[in-house]
Amino acid sequence: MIRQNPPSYTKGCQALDGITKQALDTARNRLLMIGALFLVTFTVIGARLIGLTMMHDGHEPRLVQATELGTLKRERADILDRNGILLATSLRTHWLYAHPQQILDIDEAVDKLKSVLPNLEEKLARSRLASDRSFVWIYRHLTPRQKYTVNSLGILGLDFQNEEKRIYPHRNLTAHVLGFSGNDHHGLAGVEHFMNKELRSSSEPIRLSLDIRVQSILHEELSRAHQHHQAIGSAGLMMDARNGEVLALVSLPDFDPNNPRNRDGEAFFNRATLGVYEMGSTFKIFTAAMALESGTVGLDGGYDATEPIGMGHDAISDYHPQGRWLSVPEILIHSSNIGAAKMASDVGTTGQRAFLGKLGLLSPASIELPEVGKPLVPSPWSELNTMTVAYGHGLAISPVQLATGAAAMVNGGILYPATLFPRVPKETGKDERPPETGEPGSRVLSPEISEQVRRLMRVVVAKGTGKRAKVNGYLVGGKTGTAEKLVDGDYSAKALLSSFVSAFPMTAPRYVLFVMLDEPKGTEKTNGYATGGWVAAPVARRVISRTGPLLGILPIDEGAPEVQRKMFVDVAPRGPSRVSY
Amino acid sequence: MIRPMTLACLVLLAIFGFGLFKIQHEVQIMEAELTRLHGNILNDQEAIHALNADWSYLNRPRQLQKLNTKFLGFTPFSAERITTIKALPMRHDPASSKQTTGENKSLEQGLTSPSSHDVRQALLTGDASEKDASPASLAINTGGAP
Repeated sequence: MIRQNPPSYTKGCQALDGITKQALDTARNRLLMIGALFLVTFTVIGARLIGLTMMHDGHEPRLVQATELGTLKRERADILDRNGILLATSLRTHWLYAHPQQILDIDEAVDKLKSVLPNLEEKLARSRLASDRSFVWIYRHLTPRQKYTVNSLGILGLDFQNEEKRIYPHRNLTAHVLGFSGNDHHGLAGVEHFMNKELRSSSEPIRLSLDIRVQSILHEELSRAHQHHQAIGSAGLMMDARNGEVLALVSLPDFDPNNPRNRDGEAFFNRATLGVYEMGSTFKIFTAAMALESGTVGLDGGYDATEPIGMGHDAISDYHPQGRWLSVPEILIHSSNIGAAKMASDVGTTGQRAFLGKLGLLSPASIELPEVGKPLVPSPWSELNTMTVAYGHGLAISPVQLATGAAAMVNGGILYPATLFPRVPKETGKDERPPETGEPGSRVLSPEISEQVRRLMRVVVAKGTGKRAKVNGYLVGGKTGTAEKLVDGDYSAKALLSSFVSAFPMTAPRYVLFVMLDEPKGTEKTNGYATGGWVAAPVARRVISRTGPLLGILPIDEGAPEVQRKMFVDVAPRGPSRVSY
Repeated sequence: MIRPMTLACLVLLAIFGFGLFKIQHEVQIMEAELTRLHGNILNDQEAIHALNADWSYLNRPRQLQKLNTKFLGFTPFSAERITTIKALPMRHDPASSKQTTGENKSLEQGLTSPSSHDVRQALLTGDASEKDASPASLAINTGGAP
């Protein structure tokens, strides 16, 4: 534009008249204004360009974001044990289907398939391929290797569909805890059912409080006793006494969750949480704790157990009758029903009901499983009930309830509802917390009484019916239970429910273990006995001796004076003069 | 007539056009490669997932125990074999024992029986004399001064 202005402009201006000059001036002014406008605009654009390229994100938009790496989307999240061991996962498998019209030679195809899929049902496959449908399923859940070999057969008309299959690597071991899920990826039992929503919505694995090592040991030892005594069922669970975390939970018979068949069968019944039983003498710990807590009797008191208590046409009698006055420790050592009944009778029905209610024995357990049994509570709760419940008859509860209650008896008196999920982060979980701190539980017993109950449970193992649960170094305490089962409305001496509830080490209990066998038969090894002390206590002994070192519990020298003092119980009866009627 | 400026612009246009095409082509190739790699990663993740399940299956505690009985023969250890460092008798330091012998002695006597204490003391004291010391002389040397 500037070039177009003739250089002779100033020279020739004299030759121009006023009007032309004025027009040129106007044009020049306008030109200047437009030029200025352009200058400003380009300056702004330039500045913006510099700003955008140098000051701001100068680089290309991140392509990585555009084609982000997809994660594996699964129908269900994994389940891990407390140490991160895989307990349940979903694996991709392939389902084989066919378009029958495209199959050239059915016999050849079936023969070839049979050679690589030995489980193929030939007849069914043949009839399906011969049908005039356009689509038939041939085989479910092929492994990647099987898919490869089928592909290499080169049969026309076959194809695959990806499907997911739920895999439980530990098979029967975790059956009753994990449950199983169906082909439609919905949990049908156990944690799989209880946590169905969480497992399906997130791909984050769920961590349980279960310890697969402990679970395996408990399962193995319980199975051995279960078979040896030909029990119709068995249950066992181990629990952290200081926070209610369940480390192992076994119910026998069990099933393989990878292939759950006959779902209504006995094997699918979770005896540890769904089954409710009249537990028998293990209840005497609760009775003793209740009596000591209410102050109706002291550790040095006792009751006369000479005569059976007659109640209508029934009579409460002892299994090992001593025929004399018994101190409180003796009532537990000899497992005296008469003593326990009198103890509870002194506390009274209201007190007993309130105490057992506080322990959560009158309402279903809060454990995270769909299979939770409702306790059978006597109604109305009569004076007779008070006496029978004292030694575990007339009130049926599940093993998990009993273990939860027992944990509260020994851990300083705080009830932590049983849980299958870790309550404390792993890092702080291993420290030596005193029993009183930790998770907020509810106080059901004073620490002093809990301490006395610990002594009582220890003396039962040291001198009483629980002798066969002794493990050197782990200071086991416990209580045996042998309940006669109701058969056709009558208690039968033949059908027993034998159990043992224990805790260790008794100076500061870390774990509670409950073992129960339903209708065990006595063997030569047990001199024909099938009582709790003979069949369940040895299981506890073996489990504790194997898991103790695993769980990092420092062995305790039982002979050490300090330990002896801590566990001291004056067993000797002082005679009826001290009877606290 | 094409002016030099226009010519320059055309040349630049051709260069940039070609450059842009080249880069876009390369990006396309790289994106294809990226997609392939992502696919591979997913496949590997899938494989790792399956192998994890396999690993868990092969590590069933029962199975490990079976293999142990077959090949190793390890047995569980008993509680008696676990103790704390504190519960162990203290190691006797010959250099510092001159000043603290009395102290150490009383401390150690509380932990070990007198006879074993003596033998231990003898074994620990004076490493120079240890080489030519006969078992008899060790037994006589009842500790204290090195």
